[in-house]
Amino acid sequence: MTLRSAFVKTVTDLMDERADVVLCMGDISCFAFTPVFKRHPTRCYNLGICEGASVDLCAGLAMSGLYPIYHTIDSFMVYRAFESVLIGFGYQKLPGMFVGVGGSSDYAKLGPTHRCEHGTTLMAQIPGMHIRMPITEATVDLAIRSAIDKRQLSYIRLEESLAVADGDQPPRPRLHLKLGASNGHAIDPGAQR
Amino acid sequence: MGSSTDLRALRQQIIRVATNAGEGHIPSALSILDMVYVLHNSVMTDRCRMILSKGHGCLALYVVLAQRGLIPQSMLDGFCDERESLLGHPERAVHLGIEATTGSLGHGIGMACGMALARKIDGSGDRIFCVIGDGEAEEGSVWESALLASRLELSNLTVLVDSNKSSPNMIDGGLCQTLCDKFRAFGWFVSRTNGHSHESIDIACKAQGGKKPFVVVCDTVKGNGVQDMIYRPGYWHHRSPTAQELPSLLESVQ
Repeated sequence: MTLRSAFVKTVTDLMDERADVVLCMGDISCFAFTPVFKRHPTRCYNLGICEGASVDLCAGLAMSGLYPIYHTIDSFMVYRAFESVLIGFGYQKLPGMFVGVGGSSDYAKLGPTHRCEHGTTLMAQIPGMHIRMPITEATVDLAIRSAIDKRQLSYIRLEESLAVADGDQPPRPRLHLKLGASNGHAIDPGAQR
Repeated sequence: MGSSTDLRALRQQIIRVATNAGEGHIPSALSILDMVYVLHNSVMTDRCRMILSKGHGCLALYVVLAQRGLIPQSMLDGFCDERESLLGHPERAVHLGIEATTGSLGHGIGMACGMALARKIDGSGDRIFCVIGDGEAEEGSVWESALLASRLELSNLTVLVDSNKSSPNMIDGGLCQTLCDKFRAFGWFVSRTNGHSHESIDIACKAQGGKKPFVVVCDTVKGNGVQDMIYRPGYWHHRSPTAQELPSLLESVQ
């Protein structure tokens, strides 16, 4: 099982368990959520390729008491929609979850636009943001459920190249200088704050 | 609808508050004042919500909320005092009737989409209103939101565009199609009206567009009601009067 499939499993279960969760996707993982689309058509949306407005829309859902989960590739979520996250959620002190895939290295071969070396650094600037980087199936489930139970503003980053089997030792923190970052930073897989 | 005396008093209050603070965007507030007034005094029920996406026009919202008794008049005295609640662009304070933090243009309409979607999810279908500027409509996020609103059939969303035609790119029919044409192309139900006629705004906002989101493009004048601001909108855009200018300016208010 991948980290992304663990995310799909947990969120699929949560959509059945909780009526306040709304899932919005940026045109990824949609096939995997087919059962959710069928069971909860009013709370599951593929919003397409418009990350900024999608995050604004998610803020509007949160302003109405719902808990939005927005899911897409890290670089588009963090870089393109950063101001929407900052204003809609940070400044307005609203709960919601951003689940990114790819991280710094999963899509490295696809070019610099698909690497998100500064994702955690930038999201850490959002007031109230909680960042989690689970690297096992069990911790993906734990990270998502913990954030929703506490109605936190959360960034959950799923980087498959860091994943290990449950119970294995996590890899050492590593530098991402190699991927083109001008000032790469060390990250601690599995770290939470 | 609002009497000319009432509206003149609100315009004067906008000028006084900005003068007292030494801050504010008076002509933009005067441009949207009639829209905000009609929404709050005639169109919206208690369950409706309005986002002022054109945040720099916030003095219009603040004086109308005060006129409605939703915020104390004394709070206006603290306008732009960072220790107080009413800053130069809205900061979310739902208990005061300020629904969203705006000021960086192009975000409020997306938030309004989310609020409208939430009302469809809960089945209430309560109406959500959003006021944007024509200059704001130069932001790409406005059209991303227009696309989403259409596809999600947010028929309970009504956007009012303050078309005072003061932006350099002339998005409303200058260099390109009119805003009506653009919203229509995005699948919206479209209306155009005089943004300073209370009766026209009221009638337009009470129309229904079937499953489509609804936009009312309001033709307005930046600085409406104050001749010098109409003639010199650039000069007055982000400028508050001096103590010497204030008496004659207040006297000139229509």
